[in-house]
Amino acid sequence: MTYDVCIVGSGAGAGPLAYELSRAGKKVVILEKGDIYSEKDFSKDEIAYTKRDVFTPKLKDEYHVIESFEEGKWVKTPSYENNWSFWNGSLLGGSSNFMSGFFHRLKPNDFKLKSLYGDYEGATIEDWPITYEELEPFYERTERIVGVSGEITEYAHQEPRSTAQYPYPPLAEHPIVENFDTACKALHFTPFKTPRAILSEPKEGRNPCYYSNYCGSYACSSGAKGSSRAALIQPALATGNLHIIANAFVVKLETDNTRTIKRAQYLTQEGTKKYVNAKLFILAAQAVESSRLLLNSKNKAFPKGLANSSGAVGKNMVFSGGGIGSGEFDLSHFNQETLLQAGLFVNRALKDWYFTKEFKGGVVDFLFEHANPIRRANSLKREDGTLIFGKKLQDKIFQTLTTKRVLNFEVFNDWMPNDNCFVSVDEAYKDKYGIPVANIRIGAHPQDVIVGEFLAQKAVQVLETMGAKNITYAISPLPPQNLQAGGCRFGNDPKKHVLNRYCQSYDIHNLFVTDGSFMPTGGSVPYTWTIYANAFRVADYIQKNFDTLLKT
Amino acid sequence: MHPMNRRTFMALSASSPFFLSIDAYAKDVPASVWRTIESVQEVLLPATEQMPSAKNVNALSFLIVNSTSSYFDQNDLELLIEGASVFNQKFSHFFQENAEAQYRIVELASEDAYLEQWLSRLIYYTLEAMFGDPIYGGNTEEMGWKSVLHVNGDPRPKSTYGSKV
Repeated sequence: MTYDVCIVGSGAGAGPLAYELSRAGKKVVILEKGDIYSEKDFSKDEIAYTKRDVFTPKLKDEYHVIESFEEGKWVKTPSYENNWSFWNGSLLGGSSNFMSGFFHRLKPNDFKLKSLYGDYEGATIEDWPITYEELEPFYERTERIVGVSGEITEYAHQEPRSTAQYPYPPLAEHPIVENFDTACKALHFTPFKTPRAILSEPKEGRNPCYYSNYCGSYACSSGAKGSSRAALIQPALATGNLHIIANAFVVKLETDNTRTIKRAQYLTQEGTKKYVNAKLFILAAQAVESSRLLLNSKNKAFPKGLANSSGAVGKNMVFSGGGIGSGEFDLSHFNQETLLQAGLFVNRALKDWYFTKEFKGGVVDFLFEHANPIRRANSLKREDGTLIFGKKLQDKIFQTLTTKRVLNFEVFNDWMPNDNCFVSVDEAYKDKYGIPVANIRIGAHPQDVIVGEFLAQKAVQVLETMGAKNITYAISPLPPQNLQAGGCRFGNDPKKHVLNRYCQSYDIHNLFVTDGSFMPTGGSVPYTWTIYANAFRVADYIQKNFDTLLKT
Repeated sequence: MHPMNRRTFMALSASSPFFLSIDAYAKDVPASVWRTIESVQEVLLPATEQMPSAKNVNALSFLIVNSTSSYFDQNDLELLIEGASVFNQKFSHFFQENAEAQYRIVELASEDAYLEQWLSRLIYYTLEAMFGDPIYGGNTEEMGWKSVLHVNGDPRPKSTYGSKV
């Protein structure tokens, strides 16, 4: 059988394509590396979801190589040695199952940072080939179809919207937000109300949030979280036009020495080679793995890898700059019942410094420390680096877990693309199937840390004003492995760019790349909403031009 | 890092009465290793007025059962077993001592870099037993959760390690 469309991956970059094209009557197949799960399979199991490689490959079998700058040279370390996994969810819906769902749009100026701020030495920033205005209708579509809850905050950098409000009202909040809002007012900061990709009301077979207190890192048991699986793939399956092949690890996209991909080669869990034929191919395996697949798909006609005549595949990877911080609240702030009240959200952020006159700033999101008691108790076993145990440790665990609560903050600022942040493949490093793994060089631009520090100081001011205790933070030049973008930049120059403005390969006319790979810059926010919106935009383009695209 | 590695440990085990047929995998771990681990766990996390002890939450059985899972970190398992053996060798009088003396022995052991790592991992897996879902065999009657007023997430797992219902 030859499908109309073959989608590699099933996360945020894939779901909108599966949803729109199957509804338009196209015969679509998804090749998903992991297994198929539904809401009834998910639970709030700290050991399975956060302490073992259950939903990601075992690193000894499938790993990445992390290339870091140490003592004056670039050093390669397989991730099974440092236990730093860049897998984020091998299951239907991908890592969107486990996201926290902090949903921020990009802003008009995010699309033209180079024009706005000029060149930064050592950075490879470029303006986007599209504008915010072109993407806005698809941000709005994501709000409606995936489901975004919240309330608009008017502030200096509010982006233009085609609708007045989010389609779903805000989720219930913990009383600590009153302290947060009061502190912000005293400091003349804007307490920004963070929209979430979590339903506060039922929607077409999905139940609303039931405040389980186990959200970030956990798959949602009610379908409230707007994962690609719950919000898009499940409705797409209902059309009868979508077929999912699970446990299918795509290792090569094959051309017949023309500018057309004919079939995808994949391996079953047992390592058996199989093939899927299709007219059009959508690559959405998450940025690192998408670049890896294109590079590993090299053949005689495309010796540098597929879609890589520009030599830009894998280049200009971006993650997110920033870091994390926290402050403690205890019985001096709230009575015990209020303090420990489980499940309610904080949903506050600082965005007053998203842009400054001198430099691009970013966002600080606030959230309660996740419930996870194993992690929290284990974090208490050292004092000044020395192991504590016995009654001393037991008393500390009891005191901390029953009388304290930690308010965390997460700083997001632009990861400056640069020539030392890229994905490549190296024949010296292969996974258990004999396929070269992705080598990720993780060089960061020094500006990332400067901006992160600036934003963290603002968050610290808020926590201090709230009366928080033991305030700490850490800003790092290391990449967060779950926020990946870049590697297949879109742009208007086929000699420099991998993809055109519709995320179609310049070299291979029936190939689109729709995960975060297309992004020249990442914005100072988690990428998921922008990936969803862009994938809806590409789906719209493919739907309107399907027949023409096949003839090109 | 303690100079002992897996190879030297294997050589040592062959000549020691403690280690008859030890292979550093759970299935063949000798009872003496588990006995040591059980006793040290009780020193690391003893019963207090508010908290259950390692034994109360079935920490040893939790570790024995879960260490046979393919999801269990094999480096951790090796460390847990080797560490117990090293501890046994260095502090063979541990079992004859009273609780206070045993605490001091563990305190002394924690000054050794290798044994400190071993103790740290042992605390971690004992806390997994104390605060993990009871489906894994620990957290007896949700004793760990109840002691710290923890509200468990809903739904609870119906099977271990995320396997599908």
